[in-house]
Amino acid sequence: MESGKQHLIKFNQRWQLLGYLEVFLYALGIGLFAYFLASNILIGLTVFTLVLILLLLIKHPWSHNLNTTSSYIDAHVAEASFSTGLLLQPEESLSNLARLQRYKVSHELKTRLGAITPPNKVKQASMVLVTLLAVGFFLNKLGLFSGVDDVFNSNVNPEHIHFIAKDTLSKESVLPKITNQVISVSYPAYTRLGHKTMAEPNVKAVVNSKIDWRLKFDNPISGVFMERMGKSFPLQKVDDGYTIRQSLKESGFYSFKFKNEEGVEFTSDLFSIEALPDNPPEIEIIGLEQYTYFDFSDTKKIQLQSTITDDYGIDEAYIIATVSKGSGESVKFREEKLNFNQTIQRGQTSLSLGKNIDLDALKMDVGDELYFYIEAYDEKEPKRSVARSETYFAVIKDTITDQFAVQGTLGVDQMPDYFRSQRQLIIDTEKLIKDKPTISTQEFKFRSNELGFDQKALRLKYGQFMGDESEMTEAPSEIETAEAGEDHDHAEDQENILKEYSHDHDGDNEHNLVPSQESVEAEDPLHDYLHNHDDPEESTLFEESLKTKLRKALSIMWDAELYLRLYEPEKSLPFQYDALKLIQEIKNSARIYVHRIGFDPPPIKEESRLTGSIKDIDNFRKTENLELDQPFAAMTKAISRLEELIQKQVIFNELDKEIFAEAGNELALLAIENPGKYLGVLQGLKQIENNTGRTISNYKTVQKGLLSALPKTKQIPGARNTYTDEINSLFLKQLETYD
Amino acid sequence: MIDGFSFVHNVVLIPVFIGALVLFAIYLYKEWVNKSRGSFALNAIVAFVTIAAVVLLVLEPTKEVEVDDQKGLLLTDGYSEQQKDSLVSLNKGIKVLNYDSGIAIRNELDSLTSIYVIGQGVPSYDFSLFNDLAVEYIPIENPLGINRLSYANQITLGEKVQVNGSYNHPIKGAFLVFEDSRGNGLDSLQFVENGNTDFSLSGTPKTSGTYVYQLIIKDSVGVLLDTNPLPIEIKEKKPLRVLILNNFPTFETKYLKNFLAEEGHEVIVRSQFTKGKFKFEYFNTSSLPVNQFTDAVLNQFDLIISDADTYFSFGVSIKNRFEKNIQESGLGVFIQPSEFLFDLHESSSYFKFKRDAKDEIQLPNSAITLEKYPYDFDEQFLVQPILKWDGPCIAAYKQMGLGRVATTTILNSYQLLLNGSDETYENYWTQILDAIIKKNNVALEWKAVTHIPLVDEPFDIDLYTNLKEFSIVNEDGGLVPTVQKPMISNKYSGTVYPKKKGWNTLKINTDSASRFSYYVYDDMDWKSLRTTETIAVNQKRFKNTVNKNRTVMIDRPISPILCYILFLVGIGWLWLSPKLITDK
Repeated sequence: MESGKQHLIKFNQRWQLLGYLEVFLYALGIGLFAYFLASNILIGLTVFTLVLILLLLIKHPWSHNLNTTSSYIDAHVAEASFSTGLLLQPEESLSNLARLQRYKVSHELKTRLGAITPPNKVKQASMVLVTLLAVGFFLNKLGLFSGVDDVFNSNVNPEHIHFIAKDTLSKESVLPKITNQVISVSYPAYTRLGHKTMAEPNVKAVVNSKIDWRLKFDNPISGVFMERMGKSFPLQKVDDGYTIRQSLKESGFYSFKFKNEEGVEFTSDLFSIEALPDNPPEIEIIGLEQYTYFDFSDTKKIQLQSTITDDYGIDEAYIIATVSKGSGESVKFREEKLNFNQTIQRGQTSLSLGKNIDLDALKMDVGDELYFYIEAYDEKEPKRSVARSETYFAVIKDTITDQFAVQGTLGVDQMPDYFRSQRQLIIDTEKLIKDKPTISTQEFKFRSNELGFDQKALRLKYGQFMGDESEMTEAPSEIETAEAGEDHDHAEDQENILKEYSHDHDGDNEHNLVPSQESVEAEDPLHDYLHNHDDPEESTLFEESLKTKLRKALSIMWDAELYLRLYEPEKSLPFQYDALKLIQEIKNSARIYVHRIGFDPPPIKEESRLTGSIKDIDNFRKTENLELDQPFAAMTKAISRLEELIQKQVIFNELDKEIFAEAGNELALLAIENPGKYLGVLQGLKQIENNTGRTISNYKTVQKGLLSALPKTKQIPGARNTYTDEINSLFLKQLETYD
Repeated sequence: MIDGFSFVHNVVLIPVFIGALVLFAIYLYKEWVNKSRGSFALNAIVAFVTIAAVVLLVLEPTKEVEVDDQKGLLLTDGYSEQQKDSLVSLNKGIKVLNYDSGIAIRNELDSLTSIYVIGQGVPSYDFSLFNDLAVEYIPIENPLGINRLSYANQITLGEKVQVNGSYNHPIKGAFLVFEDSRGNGLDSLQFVENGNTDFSLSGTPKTSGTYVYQLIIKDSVGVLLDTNPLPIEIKEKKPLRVLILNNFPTFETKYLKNFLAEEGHEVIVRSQFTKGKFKFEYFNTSSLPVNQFTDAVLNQFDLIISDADTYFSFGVSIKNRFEKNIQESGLGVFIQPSEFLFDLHESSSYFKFKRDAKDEIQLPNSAITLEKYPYDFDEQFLVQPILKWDGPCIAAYKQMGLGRVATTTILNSYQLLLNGSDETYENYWTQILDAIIKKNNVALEWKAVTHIPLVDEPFDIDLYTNLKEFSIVNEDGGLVPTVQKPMISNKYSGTVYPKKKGWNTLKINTDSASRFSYYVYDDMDWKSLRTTETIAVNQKRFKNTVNKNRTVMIDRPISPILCYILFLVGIGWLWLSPKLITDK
């Protein structure tokens, strides 16, 4: 009894199947049509799939269920008597009459259903398929859409390196083709770019990358070379191809050449390699004035915010801070390296760093200045590139500095410290001895004592250069007594005794040029000297022999002073002379020292000096041949040759080949800076050279490129050809008579 | 022929006469045989007259007649129909001729007493047609486009090509672009006004050879409107042989000598370092002692550079030798200035200076200032400035015979090099030295008289040479006839008719080096310029033409009716007379 329903289900399935078939046929037709147009199986498949999905969505053949089937059968099979619906209902729920009818229908359908087919458009679809097939095939044969073909297929072919036979006569020889070509770029490790494999022969990579070319040929070949910027590198043979590894240092061009079995040489087009530079890091300091000023009472802190970026990774960054103290000659610098608040993780391409610089922590005082800048390194190998920011300044203002100024009202400046020289002392002593009979004893003693003081001052002056501790201890105590009379030493006793004589005029100020009070101050500077000579570094002003000499001179001065103080200038005089002699020697030895490093003149022939004889002097001759530097000679030649080839259509000869090869080399040098710009011209030149582009239009493009690549003509004087006309000459001669 | 008479068919005169004589002879013979019938003489006369009438009918006799009012109208390219119509309606019986260079109009012109020419006019090579005709030329307006152009079509490498001209009514916003032979732009300008605009474009060629540069007009969006060729022949300069004489070595000389030697010139430097002792430096040349300044030594050099102290301390005989070489063989001398030069009197120093109290000068178009002596060149006959801008002249030369002597007021030009302005330094010296360098003598000089030659139109050339025996050969090996000018024995002129567009060459058969390249333009090139020029030459040519109408003699055919009558009567008598006799 169920067989009726079975038939219905079968019919339904057939209906669905036909629906699917119809959709498939349409999609196949359109897909094949697309394939014929584009000549690309991929395109065909894509179009087929898309259309299939689209049509399925529109038609949804699965939607035919038993209900729609039964209503269809009711409408088309009279014998079904609109009762097929009964077949779908369970038998038990039907009335008897209905069961009878159901049986009848089921019986009828068994025979009838085989005769009718579900509604379909398969025929129509097949027609469309055939038509599209025919039209597509026809169009494909016509080649109307070959452009489309090129567009879609071009992504495979041009990347492959093509070769052209150098020897144009043997065109019939087999042209080996590249079956597989792999170019892999190994970027330097620090860039973290790893490896990249490409088929495109124009390579762009970071400087110091390693580039591998791996070429496989379909025919056996030999002598494969890479030509790069005028140099040839052989390719190594590996199991099934050839390989070469090159390190990328600078931009340029390359091509391959090889020989086939018959020894015919082939060469490829020219391709560019562009070296992308690894730029040093970029540092930006945010929101900070170049100059920052602080008052003493301010909180002396600087908020430094900066961002550092690099194209491949930052290795290190820090702040270099320099503190300058003092001014003028006594300025001192202290340099410190400060780290940022954040720790720097190596290899990051962008960093945002901050730092609080506390001027107090840097032990800066009033008037001190701080200069700082940021230094950052990237990870470039072999040498890291470094970048520096601008220098920023921070100054703690010093408001109490006073400046020296000479004012008009103070006409007299304080007298500078000065000493009588030993020679003056001798002269004065001799004068004193001479004057002795004519002057009073008081006067004599006073002057003698005064000379003694000057002798002391002189001794002290030389003593300071000694820096000798034993001498030094004596000197300050002396002076201090002379001024204030506080200390009591064996030497000062003398002074104390002499005090009444020397009260007013002891000191430098013997001529009373300034008020007596100031004579006290006048000695003040000696304190400075003494202080300074505490520094042991400065005590060794002289070499050892000089030191002993000086010490000797000082002790002699002591004796000289002693006798002056004892009012015995006659006895003092020999000591003074000895001291003078020693001082002269010391001075001279210093001079000799200067002398030694100076110019050492050649010995003068006294007999020929100033005679004016030049008989032994000869004329001087020099011959030099300077190579004329013409870096673009071949390019110039190539341009004029091209003009001939274009204008006169002369025949290309072997000599031209050399010119164009040479011009290519010259242009390549020019093009290193900018490989992309001249690649076309270089390829054109290569094509002219290897006889694949000897056409007028190529000549013109190459000539245009060469012309624009040539630099400006240099201005050089030179002779011109002219015809000298008799009449003109006569005219010029006549002109002169009127001058 | 008899005065005033002629025949239309002069060509067949003799055969016709012979035929007539034969016919007459046969008739006489026939009459002689039948003499008995009488009246032989009468018949012979009648027959003679009849045959003569036939002869005249065949030959069509003409008679010269004086005509003094036969006007013509010549239509040339660009004429306006309106103008033509009004002229035709004003002058009854005017003969309208169409000017076409391919068709001869000489015969038509011969019959005219005066002619109007309208349109752009006739090309100058056809002016001879109008030699004794009263011509009234009514010009058209100048065409739009470039109507004046001047540029040097022969330059030396390193020189600038300067294209000057004017454009009649350019489109506002259009560009005029000067391009090299392959379309690299060299210079351009945009028109901002509509009237007649003058333009000046320039560019420096980079290589030597013959090239066709282009002057292109584009509209404001870059659409090409017109392109015109500018053929240029660029020659290379020849290296020099220079002698430098110095009293003592100076930096100025050092840098100048380096500059010259590095560019491949042969340079010999002689600088004195003590009395009678010299330092000789030879660059790019073999060492040759330069102690004596004989004519032979001086003649070797194209240029002598000497400091004033050296040059003006030469003895009279040496100085005369220098001057002789300057004047006669065109030697160039450059005197490096010093205070000494400015203190000299004009008569001995060649130059006259005036104090200007300026110690430095600013070079044009740059921020560079150069030290100079506080003098300026005073105006002098024969002294020409070399470097002169708005300010004082800083270098000048004096023409002395064929040669030139130059000097400058610049103190230390090498400062330019030290400042890094090498280009300015090179320009400075190139300009000065180029002005005075001895010229290489060549045997002949070509000059194109026609400046826009076209295919199949006459191209006139002048040739200056002292050669006595030579002939000009064109590209196909054909000889070009030349005419020597009677007064100027070294000037020859000739005419060629170019056969192809583009570069053509002429050469002298005895001297393969003396080639002359000329460019033959396309009919479409420089249309407006050619038209403007044709209008101008026509206006000039026909301005002072004979205003009085000439009288022309025309051969008018004599009416043949008389001959017909004579023939009819004669033949009738001859037919009738035998009949009358037999009837007797």
